[in-house]
Amino acid sequence: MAQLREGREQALLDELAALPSGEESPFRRVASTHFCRWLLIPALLGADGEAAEPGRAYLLLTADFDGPLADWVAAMTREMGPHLDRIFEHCDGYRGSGELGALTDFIAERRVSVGFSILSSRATVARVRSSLELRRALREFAIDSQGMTPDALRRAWSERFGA
Amino acid sequence: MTTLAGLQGNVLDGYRTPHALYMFVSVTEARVARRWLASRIGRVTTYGSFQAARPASTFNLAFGHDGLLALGVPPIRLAHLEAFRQGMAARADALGDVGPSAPARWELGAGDSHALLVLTAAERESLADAASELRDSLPEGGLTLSHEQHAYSAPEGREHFGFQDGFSQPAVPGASAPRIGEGTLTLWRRWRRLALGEFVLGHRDEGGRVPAAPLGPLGDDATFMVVRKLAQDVGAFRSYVAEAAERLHREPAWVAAKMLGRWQNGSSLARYPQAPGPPASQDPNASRFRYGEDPHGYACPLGAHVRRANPRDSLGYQGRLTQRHRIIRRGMSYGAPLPAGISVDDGVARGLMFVAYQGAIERQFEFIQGQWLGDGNPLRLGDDRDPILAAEGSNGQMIIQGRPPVFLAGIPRFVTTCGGGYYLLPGIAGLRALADGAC
Amino acid sequence: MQRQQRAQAVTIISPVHRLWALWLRATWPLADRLAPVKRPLLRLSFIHFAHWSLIERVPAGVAGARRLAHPYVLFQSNFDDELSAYIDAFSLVVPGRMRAMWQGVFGFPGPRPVDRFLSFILARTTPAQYYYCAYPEASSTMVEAALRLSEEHRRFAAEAAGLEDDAFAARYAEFLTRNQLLL
Repeated sequence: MAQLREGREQALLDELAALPSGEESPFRRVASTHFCRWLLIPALLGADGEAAEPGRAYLLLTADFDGPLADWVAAMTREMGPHLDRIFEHCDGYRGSGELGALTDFIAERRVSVGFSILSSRATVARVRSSLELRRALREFAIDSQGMTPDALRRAWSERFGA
Repeated sequence: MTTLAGLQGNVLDGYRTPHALYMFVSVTEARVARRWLASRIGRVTTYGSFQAARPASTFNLAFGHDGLLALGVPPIRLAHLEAFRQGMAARADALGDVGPSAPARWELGAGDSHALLVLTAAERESLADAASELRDSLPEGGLTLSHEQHAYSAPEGREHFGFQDGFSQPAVPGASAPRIGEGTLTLWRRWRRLALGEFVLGHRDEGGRVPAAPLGPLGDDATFMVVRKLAQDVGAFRSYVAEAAERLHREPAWVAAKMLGRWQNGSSLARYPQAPGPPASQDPNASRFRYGEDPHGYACPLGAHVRRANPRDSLGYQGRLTQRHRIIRRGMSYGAPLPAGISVDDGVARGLMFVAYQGAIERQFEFIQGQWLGDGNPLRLGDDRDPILAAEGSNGQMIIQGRPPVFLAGIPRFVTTCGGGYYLLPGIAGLRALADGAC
Repeated sequence: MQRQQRAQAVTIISPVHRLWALWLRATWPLADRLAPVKRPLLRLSFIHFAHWSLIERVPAGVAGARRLAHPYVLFQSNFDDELSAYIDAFSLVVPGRMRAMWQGVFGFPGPRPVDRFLSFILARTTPAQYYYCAYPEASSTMVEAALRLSEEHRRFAAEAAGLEDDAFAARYAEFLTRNQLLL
């Protein structure tokens, strides 16, 4: 969670809106990313529901990724450095993605550690994707192979999934 | 707290009258229409009046959001009722009403009308008399008829696909003695009635709250009514079932029952997995089952229509994930049945006038339609959708669990939405206030 | 056709009593390791993940950090289906755990009635301006089923490699029977 430079809210929102999403998302190239979101916190609210520190806004980046932080940051720098610069430049203390160590430090210093988690799986992105693909193929095969004779079934299986 | 005295009829207890007429009307002159309404309130069949003496014909009326506004209700009284305010057509995407079921293709005047007038009768002649009298009163009542649909309950209550319908209605206080298995489970696996507020506004629901209602008298003894005119392609259903049966070396009745979750006589697969049991209409224990006893779906498939629409304890937690998503159904068939043995469409319009009552449209009808029928994930069925109702955009697949399982694929569209709307069925006090322009 | 985007993001950031923050800090490490605490939550079919964090200070200026007036709980989750269905389920199924999580948050009305709990959550939800999911068409249960199925498939493929036609067909039928809920 990073504090925003003063008066940068709109510029940041524009930048986030311009970031390609879905299949086109640069995170697609950062292959270890499961989920990721960016959100602007216009103000932290106090106990009474009023802004606790008027004028201070924050940018929150949350991500679930495989492997250590440094590797993920390196992949981001490689695949989407210019995007990172355009977004993080609105934050206090950002020194650019040019120097990997500085970027990693910037993120690590602002990292909010997780206290308690519930995870439905711990597989890597690649494994999740290939498993989903395999599941589709097995369902399709189960449908197509209904009623086949044993020799036809065995042949069809070998053709589809190898010996 | 209301007493149900002003609740309209057919909600808590079904009329079970075999003939019905649905008239979709719009308000053309508010002042005149209010006068018309005032003159009709005495004829409205209520929960109490129907119990006291069965009339030759029943009369009920419900209003859409725009109809209430047309009669002078200030929008602020209804603004917080999002689904009701928007109407069914506006919610089409979430309901799966796309493609041939899209509102743009609905029958003229059959969508989100200002008001819906419903007549029912035991005798066809009584219905015809009441209908012509009512129809004649409309022009001078500041109302225009935009669409009309006759409906009926076939002998044995079979809908067009051949199944006895209307079982496992939610058990609620105020309704006739329910059958075991129609309410919800307690922690001790006993069945109990659902809270009245799940179905009637002004009462506590299962979450311990009074559901959101129109502000003022319109919220007293009222309920939300969802109406859908669903065309059924009986030819497509029969030929799909016949082809699948042949391919799988099974009886067509078995394939159809596995898709529905009930045998044609209404007996549940959960109770009678091998062959039909006694007809559900005659079996006091027809609803006495838990899907928790059939967790893998070997008796009743996990994706079967009735198991999706009312999963009971399928999702675990003693049914606590399902008790807030129940509806009271009062559907009736329309159109002549396709003669037995014919599997090609004969061009006759036929289907179901689906009617459901609930306290919260979003949480009840829309949740069932969008989440349980229109998706597979909440039931751990991946992308598979309901095999009967939700073919639009579906993968057309269903697994009939067993040893080994059987896979259905290429399930086409059997049902097309061709009209419908979200209505408020006000209580008598609400109707009076509406007629007086005092809402 | 599949749903284009199943997973949705919810992010809540809300101030908590300082004593409650101490309690969370003290109990989370243990709760995080106790399966019985998590099991009922995991059994809800719609959660990819849910993370809870505490924020007590934020980086300020070029160096150093600033202590906030209140500690904040940051809750972030990816889940399938509508938010209201999700919160409804939490409130109905695991009210005790919801209490343990949110008790010290200012304004927490308790897990029931559902609508008040829902308003509490909605009022504290911050929308994400950007959201990415690596497998948007798959729900958490689909992912879980696919991972388990791929293990089963690997095992089956190894076992079936040398079998004659009839034995293969019988073994394949067994494979389908055993894994039909994953397919």
